[in-house]
Amino acid sequence: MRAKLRSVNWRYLLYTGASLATLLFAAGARWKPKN
Amino acid sequence: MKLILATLLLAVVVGYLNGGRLSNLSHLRIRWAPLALVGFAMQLVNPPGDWPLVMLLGSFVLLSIFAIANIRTAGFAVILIGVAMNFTVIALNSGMPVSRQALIASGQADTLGDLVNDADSYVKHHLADGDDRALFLGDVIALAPPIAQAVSVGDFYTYGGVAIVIVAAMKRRPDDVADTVAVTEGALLPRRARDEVPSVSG
Repeated sequence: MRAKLRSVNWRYLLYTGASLATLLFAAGARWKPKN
Repeated sequence: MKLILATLLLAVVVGYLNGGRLSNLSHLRIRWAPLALVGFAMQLVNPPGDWPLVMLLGSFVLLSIFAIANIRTAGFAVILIGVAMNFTVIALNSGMPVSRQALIASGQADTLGDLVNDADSYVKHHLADGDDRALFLGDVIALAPPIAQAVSVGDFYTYGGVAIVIVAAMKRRPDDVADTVAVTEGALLPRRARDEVPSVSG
């Protein structure tokens, strides 16, 4: 299990996740008030 | 935020159920990711005058370019359709129209005042009225609590596209990466095939 977790490139995984989440934040046009 | 997290988590769960692995996601190569970041940042700044709308439209141009740059990755074609839908209705109406019915049905009736009275702070959205065009592309779909949001058809495509990106990338086997084409003596061959080619040197 530890070896499996170590095999994951966490830095790149974070980069990928952040990129996709940013895309959703920006391209999504759902209404959600700021406050 | 809840919808974004729910989408990402659901995609990972479906990815696992589909026989995928989270570690495979690190093989996904997303091109020009800073475009998405800049596009997002452009929506956060709120300069005076017409600039917020210009920035909003500019951000969607960047997001479209970002989706096109990654179009060969599974899911990004769907994302591009969603971005184009939202871009179209926002450009036609100088902002995303939000229907009163969707607001009420999604349990956000208390935010009606924000849309009407604080329009300068919310350039991306406005309460839909009879003058809005292509209203079917607006925020007319109500998601009940606990999500409690009004979303558009374009949002469904965008979120669905990101989910496809994740599920498809998780499914990708490490062998697929190992099979990445390698250039040998001017010929494009899969690595496995390249290894089988007898050496001509010596």
